Amino acid sequence: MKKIVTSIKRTPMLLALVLIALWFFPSAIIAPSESAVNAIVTAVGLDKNEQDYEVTLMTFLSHPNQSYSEQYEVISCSAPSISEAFTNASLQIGKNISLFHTHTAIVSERLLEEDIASALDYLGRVASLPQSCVLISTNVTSKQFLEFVQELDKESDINLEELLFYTSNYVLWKYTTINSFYEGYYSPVKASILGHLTITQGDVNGIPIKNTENVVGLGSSSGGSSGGSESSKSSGSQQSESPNQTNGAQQSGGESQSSSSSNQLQIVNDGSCLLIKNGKMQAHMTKEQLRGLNWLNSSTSGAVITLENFSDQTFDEARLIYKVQREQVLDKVEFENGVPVYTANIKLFISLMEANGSKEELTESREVAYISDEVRELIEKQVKTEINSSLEFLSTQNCDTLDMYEKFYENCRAQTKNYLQTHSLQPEDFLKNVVFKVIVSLFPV
Amino acid sequence: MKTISSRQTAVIAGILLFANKILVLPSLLYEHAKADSVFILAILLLAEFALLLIFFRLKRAYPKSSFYQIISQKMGVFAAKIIYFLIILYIFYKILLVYNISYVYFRVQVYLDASFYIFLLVFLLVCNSCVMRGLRPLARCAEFFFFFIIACVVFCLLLSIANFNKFPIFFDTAYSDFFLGGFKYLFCFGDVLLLFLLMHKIELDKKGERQVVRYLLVVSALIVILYIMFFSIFNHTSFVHKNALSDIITFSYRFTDLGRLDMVAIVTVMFLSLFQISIALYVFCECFTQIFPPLGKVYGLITFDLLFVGLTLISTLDYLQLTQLGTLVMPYFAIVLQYLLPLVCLFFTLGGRHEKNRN
Repeated sequence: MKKIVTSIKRTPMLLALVLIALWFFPSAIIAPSESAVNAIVTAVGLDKNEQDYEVTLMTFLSHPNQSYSEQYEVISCSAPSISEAFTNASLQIGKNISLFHTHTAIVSERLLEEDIASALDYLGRVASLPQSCVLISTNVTSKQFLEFVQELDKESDINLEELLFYTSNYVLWKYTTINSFYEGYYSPVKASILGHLTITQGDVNGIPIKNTENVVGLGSSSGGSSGGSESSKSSGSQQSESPNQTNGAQQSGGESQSSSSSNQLQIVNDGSCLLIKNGKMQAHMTKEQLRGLNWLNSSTSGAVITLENFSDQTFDEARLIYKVQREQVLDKVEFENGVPVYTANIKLFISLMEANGSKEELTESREVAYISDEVRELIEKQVKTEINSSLEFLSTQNCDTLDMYEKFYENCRAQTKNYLQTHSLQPEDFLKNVVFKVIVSLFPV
Repeated sequence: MKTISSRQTAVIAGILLFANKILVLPSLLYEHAKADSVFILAILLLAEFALLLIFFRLKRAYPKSSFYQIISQKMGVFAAKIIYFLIILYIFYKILLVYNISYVYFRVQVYLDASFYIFLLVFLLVCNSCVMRGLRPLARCAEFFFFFIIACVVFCLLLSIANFNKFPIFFDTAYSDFFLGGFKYLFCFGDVLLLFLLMHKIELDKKGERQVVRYLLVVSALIVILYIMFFSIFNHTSFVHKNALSDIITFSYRFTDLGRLDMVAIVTVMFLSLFQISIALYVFCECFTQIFPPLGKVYGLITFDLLFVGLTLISTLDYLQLTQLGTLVMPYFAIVLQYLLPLVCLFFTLGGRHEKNRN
């Protein structure tokens, strides 16, 4: 005993360690497991009905089992505010809501009719939702979307996170995270892009689920008409201008009622997205429009260019399919005669992947690298047309998601400021006034 | 008297230089000066080097004297006591700030369920123990962990390259905002002042001086790079992100599947906070014993603990309120104690006979 007292006297930290151990160990031993106290939310959905906000949580439930399957539960709660809805959800499941492992946040188009920044602010600032969480929108309610995803997860190995990761990496070329939304929101142009996933019926390229009964309001019993109900209810004036696949899909779904496959609910990830201005939905952007913008993005590769009914000295009425293996974009911003001019020198490294139709004899090695003057001309024209159409769309919507204003401000600050002052423009109106010059060069790979 | 080596001095100076700069400060500065905060940082870091040079000169002039002895000899005991009292208040505020920033950081990142009292108990126990063991064991311990800390910071910076977005727009702030931002957060700098207060416990030769400068250069470079990366990654949303070192690595979606990469940042901040508070607390006790010579270090510690526990329990100050409160008063403290006082000391070394000449 004396020895122990002496050693404690010599090393008082030992006493501190013992005290801390005595304090913590018993409470740690009797404390319930983390999973019993916290509900681990992997995806969170936000909706808005007439008066209330609805929060939907996809929650991971840890059960002891002998299989390796993860079990998720979709919980939903409504309240006049998001914080109250979270509190209600917490009460409902008897656990704290933990958003640390949340990868995805889904907002419905209905919610996007109002500024979503305040709603997201609660999630990020108070509920500790990571800013790296992917933010996407959907045509149905977030609740229906998450119920669908839950079924999809049960039936197949297709995972929402992987789907979004691929889309971010290879389609949008930009992570549409909460942070990227805020970055656009707080920028001078106040515009950002959100990934968009639709759930629909009909003859579309999507991933179907067999069991639709658990998807409330979208199930087969409730009919196909509900597939785009949220969109049709909510979009209002924007509906007419949005090339909404959902509506198209609904129509086609209606026409092919007899086909069992077209009756199935499907999640469609075609690379379309939403333009967001001041935190609200501005317009839908189709994959074709996005493709036009992607030509100005050097990260793009793998794009496919199709030339229909192509004829030259080698081919006759052929269908040529080229793949862009690599892309380089050298851009320059300058003022010419007081007008902002953006010059993009696009270098496409392409190879011929398919050639259908009649043609002269060609060796395979030559065929891959085949670029005739006619091909060059047509591809240049096609790329320019696509870029032009996308830029026109952005200008019409007044959404500078290309950050043109910042590019000019960074490189020609005085002239940009002067230009805005002279023409009494706001930064968000700058894109309309930019003259684009696009030079396309093709190189065989 | 047990003194610390020049290498240990360099390590302590390096650790102190990180204080209050790598978590909240970037976002606070951004609110005033946007990306030009990098220049505020650079200017104030240069000022730290200027202070360091004054410290070297003073140390050379008075190799054996304590700072208190120097100022009491030159300015009188009463003035010295008042200055030391102000320094005590200033250090107390700095400790409170580091503690609160660390507490909020750890609570959000790791210990969601940890109560304030548990955190307070553990922190105070460890820091009190470090002070009781003395400066040399503390410095040796810091020396042991210093390269680990630096490696962790470098690791975070390297990971952040993957999240690099675009260079921020510089020179976009009005002069008034720029200088106001710098002035308001002066108190987050000037930690070299603590070296002045420990000067009688430091052994320093020419080679040692160069070593201190080298270490501080490395740390300064890391902090500047951290700020540039932070503003490059977050741009317009920089003001939202209050945990710079963690956020630059957890920002990207691609890292979310790799688990808690921010553990590296958490461990770094943990060591830095512990050492910063312990060193500052040691200096607090030193100042206390100078003001009240009959009372020893233990009384200084007890006074600190009572004040600290009392204030943190009674008030509901979090770090943001503390910072706001600090921006009102502390810049004046900083100007007087961090900059004017060393300048006056420089004046002492210029003329007259000093200790070195006498020896």
